[in-house]
Amino acid sequence: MTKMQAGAVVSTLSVFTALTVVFIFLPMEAEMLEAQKIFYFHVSFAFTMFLACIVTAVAGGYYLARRCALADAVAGASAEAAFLFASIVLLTGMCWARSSWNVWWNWGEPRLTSMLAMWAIYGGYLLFRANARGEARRRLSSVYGIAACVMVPIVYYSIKLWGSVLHPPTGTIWNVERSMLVGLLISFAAVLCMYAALTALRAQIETAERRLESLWQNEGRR
Amino acid sequence: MRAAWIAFAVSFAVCTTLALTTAAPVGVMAEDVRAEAEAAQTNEPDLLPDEAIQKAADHLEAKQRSRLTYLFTAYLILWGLLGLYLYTLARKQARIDAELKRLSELYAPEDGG
Repeated sequence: MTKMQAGAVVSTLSVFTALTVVFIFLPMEAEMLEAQKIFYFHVSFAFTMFLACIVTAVAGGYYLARRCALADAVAGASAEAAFLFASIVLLTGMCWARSSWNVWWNWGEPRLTSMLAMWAIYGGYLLFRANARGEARRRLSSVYGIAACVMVPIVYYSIKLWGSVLHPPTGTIWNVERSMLVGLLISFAAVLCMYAALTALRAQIETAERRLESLWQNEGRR
Repeated sequence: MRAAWIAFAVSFAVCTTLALTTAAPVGVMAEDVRAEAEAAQTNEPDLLPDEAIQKAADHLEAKQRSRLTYLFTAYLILWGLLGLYLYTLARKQARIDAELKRLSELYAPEDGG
């Protein structure tokens, strides 16, 4: 079994465990009932997205310090995961908001607006990487990734900074009922495994693409 | 890549099965119907008890259907986006495989000769 296959197996098992716990063992929340089951994966994807942004910045910093191609590939792969997870968080959050607060979106809500800004910033990062070439691409995307990471504390503390219309205050998540916290931690572990597997797969593809590019360049020179 | 697709398919199937078997069929609790019927009779005193109960049950059922719709939509979006991302990775992988094949074809006659 290769490392990638092992990653896929671990991800599947962890997602299976999380889904079983969320849908079968956890009690129904009193107010939001069935719709509350969105919470476990929505929050887990949000936290993993923050981690993906931090990994992008750290890998970018490592690339700038050591010029390590693998670090650049990991930064790019992690940024893609951050963008994907941000899209999931935004869209599942909209479903939850409509069910709980009777609105799809509220521009006055700092968490939603800052999250959308973060999504757009990482979208810009991916557009830049898709269009730039060579060393400039690697160097500038590393700088971009480090700068974009500033959005993590902004989104996390947005409610503390600007006050909330709909979202609960920052940190409330850790005060939820014990069984729900266990469910959340299991879901978080599952999403983390999924993130690790996807990032490893994407970084592997990126490395192969770069190697092929240099092979074609060598072929062209011959 | 195949392992990732299998992982995705299994996870999606598990999620759908669990969601369908634990959330369906749509049903409401007797005490909720009673409370809702009492509230309906307070708002509309002319309402007969049977009518109030029917109205309460219909209202609660509609609310549950609506909550389930949002739950399914959220999970459908989640798996849809993950599937789409895996599809883009699979296409990149296929392009790499094709280029590798072209390269090996280019080098094969030289190595052979």
